[in-house]
Amino acid sequence: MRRKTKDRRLSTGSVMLVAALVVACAVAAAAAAAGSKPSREGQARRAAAGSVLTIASSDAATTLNPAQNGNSAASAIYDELAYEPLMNLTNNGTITPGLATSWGYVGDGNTKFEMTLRTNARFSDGTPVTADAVAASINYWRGAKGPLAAYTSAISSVTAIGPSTVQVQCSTADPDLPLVFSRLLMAGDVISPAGLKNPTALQNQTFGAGPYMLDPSQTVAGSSYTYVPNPYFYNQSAIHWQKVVVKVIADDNSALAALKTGQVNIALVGSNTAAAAGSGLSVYTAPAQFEGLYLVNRGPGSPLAKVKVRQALNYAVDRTAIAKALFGKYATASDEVAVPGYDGWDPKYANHYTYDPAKAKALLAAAGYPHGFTLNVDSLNEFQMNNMAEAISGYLAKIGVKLSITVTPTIAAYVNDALSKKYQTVSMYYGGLPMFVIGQQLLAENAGLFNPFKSDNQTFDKLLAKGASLPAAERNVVWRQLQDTIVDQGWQLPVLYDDETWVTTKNLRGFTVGGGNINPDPLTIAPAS
Amino acid sequence: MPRVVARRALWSIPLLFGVSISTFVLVSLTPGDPARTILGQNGTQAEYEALRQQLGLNQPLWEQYWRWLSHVLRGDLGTSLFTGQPVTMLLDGRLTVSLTLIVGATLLSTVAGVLIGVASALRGGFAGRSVDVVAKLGLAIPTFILGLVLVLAFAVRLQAFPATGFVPFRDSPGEWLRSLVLPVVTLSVAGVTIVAQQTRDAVLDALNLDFVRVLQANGFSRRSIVYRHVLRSAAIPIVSLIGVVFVSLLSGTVFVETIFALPGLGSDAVQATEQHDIPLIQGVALYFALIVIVVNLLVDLLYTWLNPRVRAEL
Repeated sequence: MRRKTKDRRLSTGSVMLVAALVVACAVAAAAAAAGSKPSREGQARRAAAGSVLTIASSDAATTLNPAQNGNSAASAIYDELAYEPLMNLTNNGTITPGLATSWGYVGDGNTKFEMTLRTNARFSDGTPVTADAVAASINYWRGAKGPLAAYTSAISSVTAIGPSTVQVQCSTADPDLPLVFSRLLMAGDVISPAGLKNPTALQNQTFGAGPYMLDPSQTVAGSSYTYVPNPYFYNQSAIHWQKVVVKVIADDNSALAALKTGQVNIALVGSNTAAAAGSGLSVYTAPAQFEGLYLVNRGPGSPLAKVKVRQALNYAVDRTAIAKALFGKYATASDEVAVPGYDGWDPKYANHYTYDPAKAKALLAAAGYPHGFTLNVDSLNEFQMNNMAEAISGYLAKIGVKLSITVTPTIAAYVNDALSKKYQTVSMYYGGLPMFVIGQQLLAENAGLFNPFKSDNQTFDKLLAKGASLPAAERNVVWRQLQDTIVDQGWQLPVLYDDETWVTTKNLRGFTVGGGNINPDPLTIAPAS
Repeated sequence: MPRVVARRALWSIPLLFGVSISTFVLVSLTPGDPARTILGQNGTQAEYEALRQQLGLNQPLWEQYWRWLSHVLRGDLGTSLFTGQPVTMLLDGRLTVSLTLIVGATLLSTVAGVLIGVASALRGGFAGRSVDVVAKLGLAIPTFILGLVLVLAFAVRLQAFPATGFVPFRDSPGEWLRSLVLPVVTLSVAGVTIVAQQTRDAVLDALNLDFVRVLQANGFSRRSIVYRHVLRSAAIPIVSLIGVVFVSLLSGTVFVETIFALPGLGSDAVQATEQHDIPLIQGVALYFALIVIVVNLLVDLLYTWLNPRVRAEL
């Protein structure tokens, strides 16, 4: 029989025991805290005094080998700290000297390129950065077949023609070699001869001539990567920190919490998280990528083969509303496959396809689809790509076009599905790049992922070939013509470009990002005081 | 006892075998191509095929599995497809972090759960019903949400604990403890509620047994009856439950390690799965399976020690 009377002493004792346990834990924690807790103010003071800069990255380093790493903001930081590129970029995309002090194309046609190196640069092992070393590094890069290697595909040879002069010969015109060798496309992240002799070591160690170098003894792979100053860096006054730590924090909210508590100084977070940063933190933005839908199946029999259909889809979407709904103030409606800060960007396309469902329906009817049709979409559960597809779907439904969206959980699955040619459209998410690169990657017949059905457009090919061989001023005119064609033909369905949003603590100076350079330059970041 | 250990050891072999095979098959069925992830999207088909051949990914699945298994039998878990580092080296450090987290959460779940359950059973009435309600709430709140709320309250607002990160014990015991408080509490909430509820039910059942009345009639104090006799009788189902709680906490580490940026097996499992790093995924699965085996063995041993009938049967 259950006892109904209460034994106050025992009940009280149990409660007191629980309370004692809780208090004991709190006391222990507080005692530990009092003894060794670094206050937020203390952390800020240390950082301000030039001690430690902590950067949060959402991704662990897949590899530290710059030839096999990518240039996304989350992954580029691992290499940018240790590998000085041949050319640097300012926040507005201006190319400035790095390991190379001067450069230029030789003759006409943009097929021969020469660079002159600074003579006082050294790798972190003390050996000098020579033309031979640079040539060997670029040639290794080309052969390593990393994710950015395609940007060097036009290069046929790289040779040292003097102790400090490197010559690059291209088999076809490539107008963007300064960017290819900059921190944007990273082929100019020079690896030392010692690193090239032992490529396996490049995965876990650094062999660059940059301001910092990895300290493996303080590094926990996949969790935190510690960099210490390179004593041989050519510009010691640009080294502001005794230590730079890159901490892997996968979750945006966790990164924001770490910023607010002073555990990290810099983090790249999503726009929703940046909006919640509050007045105690600084937010920096840079237009970074355009999003929408790739209209990939333009083959015979597909509705997308018709220009009027593609134009109808472009008229059917309210870009401004989608931009505001998905990204708030961190996105801008756009009709073009380009981003401000890069050549090929034309501001007149901010509102070329005005939202006009009636016109869209009329175009569909004229194209022979008065009742609409169904398209399937290969989408991805990242970067709001699936939300973008859903938003577009709502607008297209009003003109009779139904989207059947498949959301894959991983990038690998998204890529596999896109290449399978089972999908007529693919969610678009593409970073800002020069127009020549965009042309090769999105428009060319063999563009691969972004053109799985190998749609051929000879106008694009002609304009790409023409622009590639011209000097910059004339080239930009051709790129505008190319953009005109892409937009006029409704070749894709871009909806907006959105910003990279960086959040920092307020005790820093020199942090800048901008159109043309969405990743901050670690050399310019210094303590505020 | 030795028979228990021997029996468990024998059963662990097919268990590990089954876990490794099913993990391998599941990963192989998941879309993804490590070669394409390594080379990016701009490689040629020939380059992808060459890399797949180099990594052994073009072989039949059974051959790939057999190659992996034959290395494991020699103590070699292979190397990461992406970093080239030995899997054992990558995981050993992370094992410490995850075990610290899980053991801490299990201890907290056990101690707090038992105390709360006993108090609830003895007080009865409103306290008992409150435990039921709170238990359901504790189970209903997603670990992820709870973790973020605790971070907001105790790290950001009160600045009492760090928001992220793990400090090794050898670097600073005080900071080590501080870095574990919020993750352990987050992970243990569901465990506390489960153990408390089970403890309450077990104690109530035990209080109704005849030996309790006999002890009361013989003048034993209530405290002595409850803590020396009733709890021991109620401990048997509780011990079994704690083993289950421990194993369930393993899956919770994935969320907790992600929220708090802890370098453990859970966060590593997420990264490895995203990258389709098969050797690393297999390694993580094997480590988790070994943990489950060891814990179940310890639970069995404890159960045997507590239950005289089981000892007699042995």
